[in-house]
Amino acid sequence: MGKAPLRAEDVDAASDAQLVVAIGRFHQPALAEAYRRHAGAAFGLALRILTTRVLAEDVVQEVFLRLWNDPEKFDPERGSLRAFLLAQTHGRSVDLVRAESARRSREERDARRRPDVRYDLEREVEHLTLAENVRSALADLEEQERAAIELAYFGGHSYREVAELLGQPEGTVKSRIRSGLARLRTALVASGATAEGGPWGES
Amino acid sequence: MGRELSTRELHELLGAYALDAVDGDERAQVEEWLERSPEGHVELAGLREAAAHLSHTALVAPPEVWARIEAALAEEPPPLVLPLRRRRTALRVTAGLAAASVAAAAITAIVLSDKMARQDDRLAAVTRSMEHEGMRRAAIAAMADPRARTLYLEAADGAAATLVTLPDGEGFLMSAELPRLPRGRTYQLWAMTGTDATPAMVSAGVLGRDVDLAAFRSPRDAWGFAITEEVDSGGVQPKGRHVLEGSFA
Repeated sequence: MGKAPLRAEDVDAASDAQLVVAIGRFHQPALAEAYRRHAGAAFGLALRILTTRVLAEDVVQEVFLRLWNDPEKFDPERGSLRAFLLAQTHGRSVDLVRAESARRSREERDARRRPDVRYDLEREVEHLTLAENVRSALADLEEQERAAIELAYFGGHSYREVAELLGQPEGTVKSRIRSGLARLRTALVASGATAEGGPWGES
Repeated sequence: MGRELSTRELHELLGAYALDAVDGDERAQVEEWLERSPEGHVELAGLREAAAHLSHTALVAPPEVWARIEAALAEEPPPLVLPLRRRRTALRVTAGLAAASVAAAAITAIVLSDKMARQDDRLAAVTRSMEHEGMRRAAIAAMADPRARTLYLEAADGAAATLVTLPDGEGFLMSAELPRLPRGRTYQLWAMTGTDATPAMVSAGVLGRDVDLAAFRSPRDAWGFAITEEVDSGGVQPKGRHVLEGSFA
């Protein structure tokens, strides 16, 4: 880890790990650069889960202030900064969507979604602006794997709820989520979309 | 408390856990397992990395949210307010201003020193985290080495630790579940060598009073290990309580 502080003009060329070290030094331009790189994805994810712009913005604000206040929570050996921030965003969004007030609207939404899960899943894939190799990796998943992953990730459902929604045994859903994610990971690594250590260094 | 899940079941739950789709007691059990499973952590990181791709959207980071973040960052700690009495004579105004300047300088110094201390704390925490993870990564690599030997130590009182050693004597103590010792005390690791008739215990390192991961070197012919509680400087011979002890099968 370098001792010299990151210069303002260097932040756009810095790796994510360097940005986090600079954030540890209260270097605000580093946080701004991290925000520029990753807040769009965090906002997109929060919006998909919460469906409310105001709530999604609150989550993004909270996630980046948390990075500012506790930069040591990010561990570059355990994945990329984007994966870390999106995991934080996802966790907070799911907490909110599972709150009682949000649950009612989610149940209504689920009731509309349930008859045609397949259509929604295809729409999910279509509407995400994915890189070609990511889209290809997703397409390689079994339909049921993709369904389970999408309902858990974007719907904020527990795997037990997913099992109920899909009418499948809980053990099967649990296995499909893990195997689907693992296969997605393998396909992305093979296609070069992500490295073993994470894809989101500089952008 | 629900049924205790097997390692295989916990492993199977990792995908759902990576998507925040595990609740309650099962979630707690996965997290407890992850605390002592470096391999679990590695797999979880990979699964989360894959999940991050699902959110690869083209949305622009909302500028209004950044404005709110900037405003929050601009909030300084509340200033110290010192009661300054009004000066009663013109002659004392200069002295009063000087005193106020000194007070203001003192406040600035306090605020700056507080900020510097916080910065030092943050940097130390980031550095510690990265060093710790470097060691953890080395420990994981050692575990994956086919030449490695693993020794799991467990005591009736719940104390436990896993040791991994390589043929060259390099080793790692990991997943230690040892209670924090009071000040002035330390854990010490001992390698057992020699023969059954003439066993010897050689220090493999003083571990500190709060340990979860440590690197050490031991004699290549070590056939077992022990952890004892000693005075904080450690010793050349074990004198304190034996906390854990075991030998390779």
